[in-house]
Amino acid sequence: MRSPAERLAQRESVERILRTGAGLALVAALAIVFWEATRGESAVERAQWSVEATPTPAVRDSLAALQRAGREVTWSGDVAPLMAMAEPVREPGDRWRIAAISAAPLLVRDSLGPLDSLDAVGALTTDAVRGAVRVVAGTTEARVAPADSVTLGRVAVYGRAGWEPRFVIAALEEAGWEVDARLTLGRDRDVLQGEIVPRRARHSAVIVFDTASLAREGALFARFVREGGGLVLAGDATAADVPALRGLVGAQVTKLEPPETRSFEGHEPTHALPLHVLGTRRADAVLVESREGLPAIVARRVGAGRIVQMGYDDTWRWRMEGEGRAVEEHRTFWSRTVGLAAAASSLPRRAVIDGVPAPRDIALDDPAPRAALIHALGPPTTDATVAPRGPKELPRWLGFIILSLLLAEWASRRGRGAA
Amino acid sequence: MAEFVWATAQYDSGDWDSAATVPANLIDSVARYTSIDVAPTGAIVPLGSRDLFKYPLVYLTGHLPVRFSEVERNTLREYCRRGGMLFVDDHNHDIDGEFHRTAWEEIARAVGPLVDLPNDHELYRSFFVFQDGPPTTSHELNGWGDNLVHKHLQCVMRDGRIAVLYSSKDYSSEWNYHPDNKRFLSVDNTRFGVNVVVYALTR
Repeated sequence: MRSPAERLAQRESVERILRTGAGLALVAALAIVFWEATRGESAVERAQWSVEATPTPAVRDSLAALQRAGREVTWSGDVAPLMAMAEPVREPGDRWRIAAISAAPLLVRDSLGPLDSLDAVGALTTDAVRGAVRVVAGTTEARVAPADSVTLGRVAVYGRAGWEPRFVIAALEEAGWEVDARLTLGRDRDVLQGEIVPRRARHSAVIVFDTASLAREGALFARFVREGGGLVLAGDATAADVPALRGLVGAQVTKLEPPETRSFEGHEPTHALPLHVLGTRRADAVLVESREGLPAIVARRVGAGRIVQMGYDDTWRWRMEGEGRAVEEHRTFWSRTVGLAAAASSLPRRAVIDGVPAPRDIALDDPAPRAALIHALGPPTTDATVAPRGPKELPRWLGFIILSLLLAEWASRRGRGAA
Repeated sequence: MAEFVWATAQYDSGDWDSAATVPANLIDSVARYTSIDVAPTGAIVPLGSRDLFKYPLVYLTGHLPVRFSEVERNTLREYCRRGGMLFVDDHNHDIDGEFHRTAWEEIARAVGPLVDLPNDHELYRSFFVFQDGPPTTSHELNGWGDNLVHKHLQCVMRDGRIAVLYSSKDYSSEWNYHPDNKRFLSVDNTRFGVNVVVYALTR
């Protein structure tokens, strides 16, 4: 039988153990509660995301990051296939070619307003782009920020004095090109306009109309093209066979086709022009235009530049004799043809967000939203439930333990007569 | 490439064909001095016809009053807008003459008012060089017509190019002879005509 002093010491010992144990348990329980209560917010184990509108690149990137961190992220919804692009037109006038591929009709806007709710199908050319371009097809929105502006050089024109070079020069100057020219009038007699020797620092393109110029300057033209310049062969030069360019041109002329009609009235203008048929074409040459199945314009990359062969001859008649807006059409035709070949330098242009230039490292482009989404998160699933789960509820066993510990603490204090 | 054709304008009023040998003489000069492909014979084209647009340089002359019809006026206006060039020469050499007064009025109505062409204009250097501007004619120096030596030609400019070139110097009389007779001249007096053709073909 233990003495009262021993019983008192034993009771104090038990109380000390209970007090210490209850305190430790309480601390542990609270730590568990805190961990359980907070871990649900920071660690989603599985996210199923239903897309109702095109996600922004930021949202898409966030979900992709989550996926790369080991979580399962899937998506579903109606994001239609769409791809858009905006590139500067290689012609004077600071214009842009906006192209989009989509099964649905397109709505085109730019972020600062001049281009507002423009309906288009396929492609359009505009000089009104300000800021980023938004292309909407159904519920899908693509965004492209024209990033560069084009700096064009001059055009050098070679030929014999005649109506064709004269009216082509006029058309190009009216379109905004700056033109140098060398037009031959006779032996040692040329009409010179500007500095004619073609060099990349000054010229974007060279147009040659006559065989004599091609034979005389062929090596110079070949070097100009290899260095990145554009060469347009027109008139008699289209059919010329000179050694310096023999391996470079994209096609050989097989015959001279007379005009299908002498009158421009009621006909396609090019049908009233003689045509050097570019019948034999190399495999890597691109057919740009044909007339009734006869190749009329052919382009080919050579070195860093391009050669365009223009089969139509006497196009000045189109301008003088054509119907309606023939002057403007002839001007556009020639500016576009030179633009096919012309070399251009690009200057970086800062993106503009709501009128304020964006930091250079911000990527605004989202040219193909669906493709980007699939690339980032994989193909869509059919399950469309919204998933990110909230904080977990506390498990019942943990509550029971906490309650038991609190009761033990209370009993201990009552047993010791503490307040 | 199409060859150059010297074309003479035929208009409803007046004597449009008063200088019948000028075309042959000018064609001879162009062929003689340049390598331009030139048709051996000229063409006559009605001013109010769509055929006018086949000839981007057209020569018009006469002695009598010039009154364009509405069709001729509209056709000429469109012709110049598209880049055509009209070369008008007063066959009277008389600034008080009927041709001069009426032609000025009609050109102003159809295309625009005529102004003096500076004597250092590139027209005077386009092939042969004429340091003092338009060459004088024997008709001016002999005191015929208005008894004046005209210091300038006149023009209507369009987009930096001459759309209408007007002369009171009577080149139509000066050049109106058979080309074979050039051999009797110490200096070919049609050389300025070559400049007009070369300018039209190159500017």
